[in-house]
Amino acid sequence: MKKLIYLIAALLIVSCSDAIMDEIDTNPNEPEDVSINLLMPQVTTNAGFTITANSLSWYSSVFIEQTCGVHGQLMDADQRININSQTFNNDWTYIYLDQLMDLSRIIQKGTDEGNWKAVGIAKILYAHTFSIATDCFGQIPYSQALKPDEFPRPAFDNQQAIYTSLQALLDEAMADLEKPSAGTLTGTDFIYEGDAAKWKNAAWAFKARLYNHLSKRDPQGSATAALDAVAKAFQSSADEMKLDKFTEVATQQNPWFQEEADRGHHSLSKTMYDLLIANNDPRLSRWFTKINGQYSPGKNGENQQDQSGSLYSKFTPELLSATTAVPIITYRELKFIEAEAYFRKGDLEKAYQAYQAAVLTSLADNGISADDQNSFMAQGSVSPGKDLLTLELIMKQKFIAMFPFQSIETWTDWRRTGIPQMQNIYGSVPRRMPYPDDELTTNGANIPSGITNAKGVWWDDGTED
Amino acid sequence: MRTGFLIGFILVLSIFSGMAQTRNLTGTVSSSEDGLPIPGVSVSVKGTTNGTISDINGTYTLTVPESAKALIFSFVGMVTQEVPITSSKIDVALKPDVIGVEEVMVTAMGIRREKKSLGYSVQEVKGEELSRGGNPNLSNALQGKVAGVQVKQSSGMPGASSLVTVRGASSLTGNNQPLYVIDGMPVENTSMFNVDVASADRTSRALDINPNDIESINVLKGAAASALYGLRASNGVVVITTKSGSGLGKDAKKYQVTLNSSWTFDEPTVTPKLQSTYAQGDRGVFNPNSSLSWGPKISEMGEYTNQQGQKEMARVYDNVSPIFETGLNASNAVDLSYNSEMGNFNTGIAYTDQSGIIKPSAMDRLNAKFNGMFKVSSKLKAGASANYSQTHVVKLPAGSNLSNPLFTTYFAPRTYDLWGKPFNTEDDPYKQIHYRSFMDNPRWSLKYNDLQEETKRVFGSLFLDYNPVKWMTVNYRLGMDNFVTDGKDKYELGSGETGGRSTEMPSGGQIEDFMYRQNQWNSNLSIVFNAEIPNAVKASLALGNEIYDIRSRHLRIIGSGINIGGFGNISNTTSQSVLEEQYKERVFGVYYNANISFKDILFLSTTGRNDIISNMPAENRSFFYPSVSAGLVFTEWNALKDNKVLPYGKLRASFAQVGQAGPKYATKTVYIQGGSANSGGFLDDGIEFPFAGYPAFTLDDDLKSKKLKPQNTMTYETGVDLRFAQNRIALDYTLYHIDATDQIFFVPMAKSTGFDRQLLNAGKVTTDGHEFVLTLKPVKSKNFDWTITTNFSTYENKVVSLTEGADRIQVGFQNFEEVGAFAYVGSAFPVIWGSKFLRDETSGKIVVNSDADSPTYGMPLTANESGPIAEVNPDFEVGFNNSFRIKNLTISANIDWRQGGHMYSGMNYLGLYYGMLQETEDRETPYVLDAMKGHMDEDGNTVIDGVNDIEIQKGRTYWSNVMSNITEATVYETTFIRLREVALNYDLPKAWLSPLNIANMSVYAMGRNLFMLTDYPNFDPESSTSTGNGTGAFEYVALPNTKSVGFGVKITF
Repeated sequence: MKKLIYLIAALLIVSCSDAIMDEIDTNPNEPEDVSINLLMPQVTTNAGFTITANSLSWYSSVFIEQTCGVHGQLMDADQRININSQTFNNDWTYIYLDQLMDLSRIIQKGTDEGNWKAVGIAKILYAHTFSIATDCFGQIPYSQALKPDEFPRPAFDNQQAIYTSLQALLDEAMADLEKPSAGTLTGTDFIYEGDAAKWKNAAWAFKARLYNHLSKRDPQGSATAALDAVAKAFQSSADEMKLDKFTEVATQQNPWFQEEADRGHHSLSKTMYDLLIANNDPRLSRWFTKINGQYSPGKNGENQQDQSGSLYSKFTPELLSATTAVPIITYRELKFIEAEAYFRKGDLEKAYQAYQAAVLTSLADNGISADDQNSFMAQGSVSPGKDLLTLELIMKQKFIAMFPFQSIETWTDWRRTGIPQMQNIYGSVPRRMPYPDDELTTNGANIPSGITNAKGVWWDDGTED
Repeated sequence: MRTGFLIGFILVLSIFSGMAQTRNLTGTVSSSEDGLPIPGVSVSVKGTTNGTISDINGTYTLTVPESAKALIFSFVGMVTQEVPITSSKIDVALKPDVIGVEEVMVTAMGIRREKKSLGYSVQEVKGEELSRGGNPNLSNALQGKVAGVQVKQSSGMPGASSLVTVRGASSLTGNNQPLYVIDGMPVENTSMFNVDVASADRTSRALDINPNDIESINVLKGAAASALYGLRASNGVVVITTKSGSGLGKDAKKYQVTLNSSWTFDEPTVTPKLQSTYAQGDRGVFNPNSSLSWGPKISEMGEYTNQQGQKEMARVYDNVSPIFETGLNASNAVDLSYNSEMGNFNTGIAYTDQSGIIKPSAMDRLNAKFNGMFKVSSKLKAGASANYSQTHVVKLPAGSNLSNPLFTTYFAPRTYDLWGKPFNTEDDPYKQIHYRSFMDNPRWSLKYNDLQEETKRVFGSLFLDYNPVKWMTVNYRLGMDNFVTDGKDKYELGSGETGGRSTEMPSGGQIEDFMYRQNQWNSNLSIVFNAEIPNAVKASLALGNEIYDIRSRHLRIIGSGINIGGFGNISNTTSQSVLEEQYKERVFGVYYNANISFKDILFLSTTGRNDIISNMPAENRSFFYPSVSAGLVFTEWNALKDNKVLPYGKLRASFAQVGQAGPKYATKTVYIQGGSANSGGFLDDGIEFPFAGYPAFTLDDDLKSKKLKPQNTMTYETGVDLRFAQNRIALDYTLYHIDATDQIFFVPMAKSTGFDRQLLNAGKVTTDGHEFVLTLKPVKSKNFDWTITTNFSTYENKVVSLTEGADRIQVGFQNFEEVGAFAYVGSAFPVIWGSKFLRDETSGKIVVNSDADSPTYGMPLTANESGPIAEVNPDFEVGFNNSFRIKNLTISANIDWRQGGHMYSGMNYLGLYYGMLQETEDRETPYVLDAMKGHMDEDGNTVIDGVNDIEIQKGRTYWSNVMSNITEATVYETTFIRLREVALNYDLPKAWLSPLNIANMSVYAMGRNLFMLTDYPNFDPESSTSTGNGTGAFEYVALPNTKSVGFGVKITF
């Protein structure tokens, strides 16, 4: 009996030793560390999915009437309802938690391991993500962001300072891409399969875009710098940066296609329709369906609810299918930047050349036949000659060429130029997105106060608030 | 194996029957109050089943063996007396029972103590009180029966989950449900996996318990009562004792067979009131594909072309009532009880078959049980409790799920003939016909989507009770609770929830096969020492050790894209993703309980427990929790003793500290499976990895910490128990204060840090509450008894602090951007948070838009910032339980009254948005809202322009654009008064039954939720969409509660 008691006592005590308790507390579900090759597919996917082509792009699209919101939140957005601190919580998550944190891990790990190619790629994507964030929200945490132990409540940086930092970061990235790199990186880079040269072109493309954003602040300087960068960036549409990995499988489809399938919030807008029909644009039939034999655009703000697409024209499979690639930055955009920059510099000759090349690239990228390209370009309203070239013409054609996925950039263009004319009766286009509630509740003291949706960001109105 | 054991057990018990020399005893039983004889008193020989009953004159005769030492006299409402056999004539005067005082209560760790010795509040519910309403769900049957216990049901669907709280919630994001202990073995009672607002509900595991098996439930409310259970006890303990055959001896019978059958019929309590004037469409224009009912007047439409291109005369259809059918709940049970000097047991089998008010929702459950004790020798008892249950639940998609059948039933435009038109095309059954896109036709959803789960569960324990010397008992109990839930959720090819309606041909479809297994072992050793100085001091000391170990595994295979419609095998999906979660935890606890009492006047008790917890960091793993309590029966003082006014009075007070451990694997930050926009947001799917042939990981959003320690809950409780007016009035009052500090919760971080939240100890929630239990026995006589028990409880909890930099955290409805259940510093917990009306600071009135150019001219403006809107918890809850007995007929009725509390109504929000509720019927009368008018200046400041005089119509713009944008507009008070239960029980006269060899037979009828008064519009405010600690804050087109009538018969042989 005594032996039994000792045995039981021994068993009882052993059953709770630290070693056994630690073993029981070992997480069998999730790893504590992973390699760069397991992080790279995530960040290259995010770049063409959550950052470029998710709700920021959907709201931008209805703000600037590239599409019309025909249901739910986007119909509300057209009526200027529910554009508040609750609207962009998810996007703040996509930006900081999902994309930037993983990028900062890659930069850290790559630096430790000497995997400079990964570091360079991550820095380019880092700059890309921050540029979208600041263009949408204005001042945002940058220098103190992503350092939870040091800065649990990161300060907000001025947009001007962020723009300077992003240019420097892109330069750093290109330097990193020059260094000999440890580790292999091919298929896990979904964008350029580890091709450092192509990444460098992309870095120049972003530099061009960011310089050109400063058109209101420094018209001439921004044009010069943008033109210099454009020259070193993509040489054709084959070089463009895009995510082209989508499949028919439900969990692997193009985000805009998924939004149409799950929510159906968009339709052809009257603003877009008016621009296309004015020049008998072949992209109208290429992109939009007919309702009872007619193109039927919704007028932003005044349309009826139409989730099923029975009232308003929707997108054709040629424009949007499950497998359609999402462009992140394109050759045609660069040509429009070039046209705009030369126009700003007063070099109408080069501006007109770039403009025509830009429009032609858009037509070709959209599979418009050579005949249709030629007859479209032959119109005087499209090709008025260099002396009649206007900023309006460039920006209207860019508005069309950037459709549908690059609406965030188009919104930026509109905020810089006011082109084209908006038609929504529900008041002016928001000039920035409201800070999300998640950040307000946790970091409210640092959030700039007195910001409304009507106030421009720094490159827009020259002030930070 | 078990059957063999059972037969052996019965045989052993049956062999025992010995007779020896006998003698005759006789005497009279009378009442000590008035000296009148009492008929029907049970007289039995102590320690045997040998006995008789006193006759109409109170006299009895009984033949007893020579060896008999004493007689036991017992009668309902009287104190049971034991009288030594000193002569052949024994007269006895029985004293009336002081309500509830002499009762023996089962307290923590199965320790039985007299209620009068307790320094804290414990409340008992008898099995018959639970089962008489015919409610197959134990948790729901508890509602209103115990002061301080609140039950929130997620819906009226069979098998729907419930959230049970004792004295409100004090843990911000952790567990707030009490521990359930069945026959000494802690068992699982919660929902095993989380659900969000779009998922099907997951059953709470308390459903596996058959209410008919229960002898009694003791609710240990405060921490002092429950502290011996350590970590798991911070939310109270529900101690369940199942029928065991003990107590049968009084009838002088060795065995008893009981048959019980009941049938109840269910209908919905509340369905929404709809408008019947306006047709489908928007802005006054008919549109056969619109989800809105802002179309033209139906009376002015005449003939029109419907969605199928047919000509149709506009008329109003009733689309709601056809979806409801009468639900049926049939329960049949048989059990056998046995009792003798050798031991006792109860064994039985029961089957419950329930069909919901919407087919095919259903629940069926098979229960088999054995609970018995065997006296191996005079010093050693051995026993076993074994329970098997098999619970099968068929559910419906709920909440914001696009396949939720109620959604487009309630909100189908009145001009749409939902039940007359086909719901799919002739050539393709998966191609739906419906008035709107994306969502499933409810009839199609009910026919083709299929959500089922089945749980097989075995729980029970074995125990040895060794009593080597009179002053010491050694008890060992080894228990286990094992269950496996196996389920399949099939969203058919073409289902709206999977995006299957957005393409020309039906697409989508999803099959989730899931398995959840949980095994729990529990070992409990205790040694109890007793000492006594007769008539002066009694003392006891218990020392014990408890180890429990819980392991679980949740495996899910989610197959997306069904290839062949109607074929529900997981292999019939285009792509599969597999998710696995395993959890382990172990707790090692040692405890003591010391009690000392002086002359039945003063009772002192103290407990302590030290737990070592696996899921805390190694350096913070061991914790000690103390409790002390005292009871003073002041009416035992000589000055007060035997006074007529207050025969009994007790003061009690206690203090206790218990803990609660955090989630598992809480100390290390990890990487998780990658994905892009695959949860929350606009997209149903997003991107899941592997994608393009590669797997991916992403840093988890949760920052973990090695500095964690368990949450600390301190409870201060005091109370008084009084008995007045010759024991016709009993009042138990309790006052308590709870401080829950060092809460373990995910503190939200600024997302710009790269993390969403950090697991920390922080925050403090206090709760102050009162509970009354008032029992009245206005009439007590041979033929007529009347008992009224009133349970009153009220509490106020308050979030005192969270953590630096955070004034609120969201605890429920995470996926809803516009509205949430929050813990907010300075407010009650939880509060509903969302957008509010803009109000004029001076008058407090709402402000309407004074901008004449705006489409919303004259309509309410929304405040710039979201804020707290209303408290979820009620001001108080009262349960009135009335019981009458007129001869053989017993009538009982329970009335529940909940006062205050609020809920956000997704039902009303949607119904108003769509233009379907009756409130939207009047779209033409000009109104001037009682408000100020104003506008917003360029800097976002409100400018008041005077008292509102702007006429508006409450039409599409008002409801759909303005009011739906303001959360506050659809938050309503949840006050209700309802007739919870009415039960009639008639015991057939014995004279009829004895020729049939039937001991007792009763027929009964019951009604549940037959009547309700509430101002809550269009929904039964008792149901709310289940989301853990946010439960009770929201409803979102859930199945309403049910009202039922039923009858049954119970026969005892």
